[in-house]
Amino acid sequence: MSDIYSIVGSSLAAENMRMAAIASNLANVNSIAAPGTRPYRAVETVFQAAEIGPDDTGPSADDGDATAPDLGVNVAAQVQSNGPPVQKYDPSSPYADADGYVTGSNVNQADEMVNLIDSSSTYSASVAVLQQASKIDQQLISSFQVT
Amino acid sequence: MVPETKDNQNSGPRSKICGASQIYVASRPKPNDAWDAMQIGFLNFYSGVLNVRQDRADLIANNIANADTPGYKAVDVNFDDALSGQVSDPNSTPTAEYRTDVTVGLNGNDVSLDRERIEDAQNGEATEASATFLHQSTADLIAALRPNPGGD
Repeated sequence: MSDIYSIVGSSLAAENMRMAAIASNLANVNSIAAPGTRPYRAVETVFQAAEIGPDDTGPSADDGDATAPDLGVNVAAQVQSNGPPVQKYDPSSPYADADGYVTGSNVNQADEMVNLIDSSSTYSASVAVLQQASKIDQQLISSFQVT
Repeated sequence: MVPETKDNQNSGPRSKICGASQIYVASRPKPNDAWDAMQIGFLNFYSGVLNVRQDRADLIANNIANADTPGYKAVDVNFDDALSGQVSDPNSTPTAEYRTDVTVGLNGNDVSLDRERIEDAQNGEATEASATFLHQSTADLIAALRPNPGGD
């Protein structure tokens, strides 16, 4: 099944997940961790083109939709960034370690904003495709109204 | 004599209708054979045009959906080749080709959102144009099939 609405739907769902991860990262940009606990690490969403199954290779005459390749995008994984966490010297904090450093998250605010804009533009392009497809479908339906 | 001729007259057209409907029912799984049986050329042609336009819309939507997928390469079909393939064999599937005149990004992705949006808009307008022509041709056909065209 690969009609245009399912393709656009997969794109919107994937971008939604990505934007949720970005929102989580930005919300935790100033999170700090007590010594010995793991600090917040930025979540990155990995996209993957939908795989074309083995039964989708050959065209057959009788069923068109079942043999059409699956199109769209999937979220392959949500991985945690391996970047170094921010270390801030603040000996007065109760979360400071023995050397007086407070461990923060490894979120880069500028990177997250760039990702957010990138995701947002892809999302709006998908919405534009959706609007176009629905406009065409409406016109086709009205074309077959016989008076 | 008279009943015989009536019988013949009745059986003639009826068997023809039965034959035609049998052809239609037998070939139902392949709608394109039904088009062939109807022998209406413009329906066959516009079916090919709209099929190729739909395929292009699907592929462009797929390109946009994968605009952030690492390593993805944008694909499209050549409209002229795909249409001639569809008209000669309605059951054929058009072959998708990678775009050649594109810049590949650092993550191996070569989708240009601007370009895909333009292609989608153009493809959509062309689809609407084809639908308008199909609508007009169908209306003309129906007008021609009326017993008294233009009258009541």
